[in-house]
Amino acid sequence: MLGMITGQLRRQSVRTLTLLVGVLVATAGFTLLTGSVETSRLTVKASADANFRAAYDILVRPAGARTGREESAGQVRPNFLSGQFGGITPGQWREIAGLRGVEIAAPVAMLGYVQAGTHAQVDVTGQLDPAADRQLLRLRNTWTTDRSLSKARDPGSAYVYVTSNPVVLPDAASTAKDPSWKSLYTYRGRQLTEVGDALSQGDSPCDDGEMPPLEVLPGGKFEPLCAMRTVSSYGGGAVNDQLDPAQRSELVVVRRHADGTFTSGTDVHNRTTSRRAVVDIDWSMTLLLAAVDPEQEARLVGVDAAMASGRYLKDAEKPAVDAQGGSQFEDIPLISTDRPYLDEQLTTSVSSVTGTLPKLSGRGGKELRGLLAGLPVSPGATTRADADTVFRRSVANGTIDVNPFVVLQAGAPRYAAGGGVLRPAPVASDSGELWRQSTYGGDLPAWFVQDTAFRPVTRLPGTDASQDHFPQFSVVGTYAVERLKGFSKLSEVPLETYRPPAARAADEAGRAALGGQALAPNSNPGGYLATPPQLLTTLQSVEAVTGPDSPHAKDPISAVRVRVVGVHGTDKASRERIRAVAEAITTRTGLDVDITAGSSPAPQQVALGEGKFGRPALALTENWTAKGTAVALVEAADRKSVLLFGLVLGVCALFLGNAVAASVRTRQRELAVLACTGWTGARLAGLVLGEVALVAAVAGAAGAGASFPLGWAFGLDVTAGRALLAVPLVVATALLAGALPAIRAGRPYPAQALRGSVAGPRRARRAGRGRTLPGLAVSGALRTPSRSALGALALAVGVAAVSLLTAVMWTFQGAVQGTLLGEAMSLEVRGVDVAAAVLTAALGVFALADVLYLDSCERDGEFAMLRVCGWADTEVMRLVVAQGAVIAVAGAVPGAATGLALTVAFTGSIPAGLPVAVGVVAVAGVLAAVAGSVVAAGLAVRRSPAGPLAEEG
Amino acid sequence: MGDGASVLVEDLHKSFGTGDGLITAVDGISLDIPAGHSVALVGASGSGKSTLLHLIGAIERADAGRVLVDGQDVTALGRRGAAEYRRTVGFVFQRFHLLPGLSALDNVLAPVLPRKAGFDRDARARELLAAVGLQGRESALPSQLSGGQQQRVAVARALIARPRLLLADEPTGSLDSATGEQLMDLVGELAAQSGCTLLVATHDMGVAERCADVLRIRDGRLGEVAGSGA
Repeated sequence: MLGMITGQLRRQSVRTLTLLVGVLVATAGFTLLTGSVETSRLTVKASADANFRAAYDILVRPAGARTGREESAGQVRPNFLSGQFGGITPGQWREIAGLRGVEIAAPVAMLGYVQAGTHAQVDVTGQLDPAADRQLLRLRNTWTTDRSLSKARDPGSAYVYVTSNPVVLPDAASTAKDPSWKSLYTYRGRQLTEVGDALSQGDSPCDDGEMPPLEVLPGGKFEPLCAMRTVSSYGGGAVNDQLDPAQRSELVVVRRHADGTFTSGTDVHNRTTSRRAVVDIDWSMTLLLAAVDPEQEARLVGVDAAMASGRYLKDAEKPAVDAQGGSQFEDIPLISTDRPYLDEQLTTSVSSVTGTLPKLSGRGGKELRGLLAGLPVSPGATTRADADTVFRRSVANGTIDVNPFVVLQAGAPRYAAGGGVLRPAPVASDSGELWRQSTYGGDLPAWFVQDTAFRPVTRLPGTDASQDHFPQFSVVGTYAVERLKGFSKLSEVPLETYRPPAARAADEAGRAALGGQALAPNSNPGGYLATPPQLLTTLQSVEAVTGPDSPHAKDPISAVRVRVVGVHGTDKASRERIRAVAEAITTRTGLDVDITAGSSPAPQQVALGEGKFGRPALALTENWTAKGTAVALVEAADRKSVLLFGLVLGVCALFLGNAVAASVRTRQRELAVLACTGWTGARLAGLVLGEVALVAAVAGAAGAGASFPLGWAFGLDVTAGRALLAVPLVVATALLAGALPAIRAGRPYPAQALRGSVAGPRRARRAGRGRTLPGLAVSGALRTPSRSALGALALAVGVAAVSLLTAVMWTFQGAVQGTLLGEAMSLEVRGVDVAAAVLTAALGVFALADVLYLDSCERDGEFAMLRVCGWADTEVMRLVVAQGAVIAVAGAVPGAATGLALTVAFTGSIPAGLPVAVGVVAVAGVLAAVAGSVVAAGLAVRRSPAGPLAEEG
Repeated sequence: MGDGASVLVEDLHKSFGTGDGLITAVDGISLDIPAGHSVALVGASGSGKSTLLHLIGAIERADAGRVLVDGQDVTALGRRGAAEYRRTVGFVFQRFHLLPGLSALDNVLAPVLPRKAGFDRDARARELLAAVGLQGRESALPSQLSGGQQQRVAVARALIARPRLLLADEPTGSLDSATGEQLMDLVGELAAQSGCTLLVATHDMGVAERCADVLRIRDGRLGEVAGSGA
């Protein structure tokens, strides 16, 4: 028997080769497709695991802290905690920290926005005339933000008075010993008691209480150089509207020495002498202050290891208290970021006053403003500075001055939603009132605090200086955000505490307007974008900042970020551990608890209205945070894998069955002859199945072997186990597919098979159908309905498979889209998914081509007869192709319908656009099948017609 | 057409390769058949008579020699030219070679389906079916017809394009003798009516005697020419 089998296979080389190729393709297809499915699943799982953990697994917030949008869409705006003030008591925090399974419970108490005074330095040396004894420069400042879209020209000017006359600076500290000001000025070792006394007695053109420098005029007369603004920097008690344009001008005095050096300053203890004439420009920055537990914070993100200068906060560090004369000075320790994350720049244009310079000393501030505003100037140089540079230098040299008396808190924006776009509503904000200071002076607030507010800003009560409570901040160190423990960009969660928000333009106009950069926060505390806290202190310092009357004196903590023990990824055990801790926190505290592990930024479109300083309305994309993304992605990938695996198995089995059944069918006559000679049905079946098994085993092994280099080429995960498993699977499927034709071959009455390789139809059909080419094609297809059905089925399965595959991938894309993690994963697996779709479609087309080829082999005689009758080869080919098209259409249409039906069954809906995609797939399937039938047609006419006719005879 | 074609065969050779070497089917045959003549090629199975018909009908390519049909060398034709030439030739085979999916009428029409004919195709097909005694069976499928009826359909199909040359290869080989005789009478009659030249390959002398001339073929060579009573 074996000899007969091998002999048959050798002699029927074309048929054997066809079957061999079919089985080989099926095996390689199965191995590659299952490999692609597994590769895709593993890629998603690996990505999800790698990006599962952010800084913390659980976020605990005060009850009712979730916004409506968070409840409905599961999305949280970036840095939303910057607007969350208090609500959790230290007791609740300690209870959370003590729960079993909690590794870290890091509290954060948002305290509010404070004003930090820094100074930009403008070097005016190049604008000075070395020959001039006295010279006046005018400095005009222009502030920009919003990537230069918002510009504010400071209405005031700084005048730099450079004089070769000696300048006597006051010694403010002397007033502590001698309030009479008699010791205020000392010139060449001599106290100017009369001058100081006269100024203190009101014989001064300057503002009440002002301690001006004195210019020593030629002849030895001492005259004060008054400030131009009425700011009471030394506790004068006046209430100043810091934003009054009239108050924005100042006079800076610089003494030029004979040796070419310059001395500037406002006090003998605050002066510098250098070879450069450098002017300090006040620059106030609004910074967000928060309190943390240093030990927990260090464990959470490693702030202690991220210190760039100074020291980290000590555990439970309290303000250092210094009681002086019944007043209590509290020195509050702060650490700051090494950059402010503010998009602000300062452009200073320096002009020289031309003409004869009038005498400036001895004139009051108001008189000076009027006098100087009318002087002619000639333009000079322009200098630029940015907030980052200025802030860093101020922190580094210890000149940053954080004002503790105004603490503002900004709430969350309110949105109007529509068309997937959020529109934050502007809110009223009285910046002048908010920043109003009494009792104690300070720097001018940032000009942009007057810009449009989108977050309601309120002033924390009780932080204005009281008579016996003088808090002051002391920056003890700076930390570099870059040095904090790194977390995936794909899994950032709200309030990583340290990450600045960035809103990118959503359209081309916005990109052009922003110069391709992201919109970033500025010093406007009510601005749409909220900074992360730039200043951190300890929980023990909270009361010193907020005062005892703060509404959140008892529950100052805004959130607790919890890390759970034993979390490794998206595995069930890790998820269960997190869930159990979250549940315990909810039960014990009643606070709002959210699982943040596996969250991912989700781009959200925001339509931001225009600002007051020139920024146009912008369409922005912000990275909001979608909770639970990683787990949802893994589940979607698992669902997809199961579907695809089933699909692949079905397509490959059908393809293989098709190839085997078609191959066996071609042998009907031959088997019938053997049956006539006395072969039993069992023996015939054995012969057929033996051939099938042999071919399947050889081709299966070859296909499995070929799948390795193919897998490598396609970047698919092909394992030896799966490749080896494919061989017995293929042999079994082949035997199953060959069984029915084999049994039929052994039927007791083989005469029908002997009457011709192609039996006639079972009943008469309408005469005349065969008089046109399409009619002939239909007749040809219907004449062998089972074979045609097999071909149509092959294509139907191919089209349905690709349709379903498209739907599955589409649904998967839908499940993962909208988050950065999902989109990253989607990109990672898209190539593999497309390869799977292409392979599946190729199998379907190949199956149909196989059927058409075998069909054309069987109909050799018919085609030969037509050629003998005078049909040209092209006419015969047209007939074959037309028949292929008929079968293809018969397969593609129900295939597409089945694909859509299966999509509904598996995914519950038909994604928009899928019907079109399925239509395209169906048409492509028909075209590919027609192309395949062209090959079959070519083969049909390749031989002289005499051969087939003789064989038939 | 209506008129028969003259056939001139000159030193024709044809061999087939097998696993064991070459088999010479036609070995230097030359013959001259006048237009409208009927000739029987008689020989045993494998003598080369079918091959000679195939070569004359341009469904096989000769190794050497020429076949001139009305002066046209059909051995020199390309694929397209051969197809055009075959439209002027009618073929009848032992195995009928009807298209099983088509009715009797459609089978008759099959040769003229791809192109326009200079006559009413349907009417002629029905006329031919009537002529071969199958009036009323136009809609029958081949599987619903007897062997003799199928061969009659094949004869009608061979004549549909008004051929000038009718080649019949063992036309009665699959029929019983009575049916075979009836069929040959019919073929002879129809050929005579249309005036076409008739070549019949057969091993049946009874069939051969219905032709004007009988040529014997043995081992691919032409034997003696015998006259017939026809």
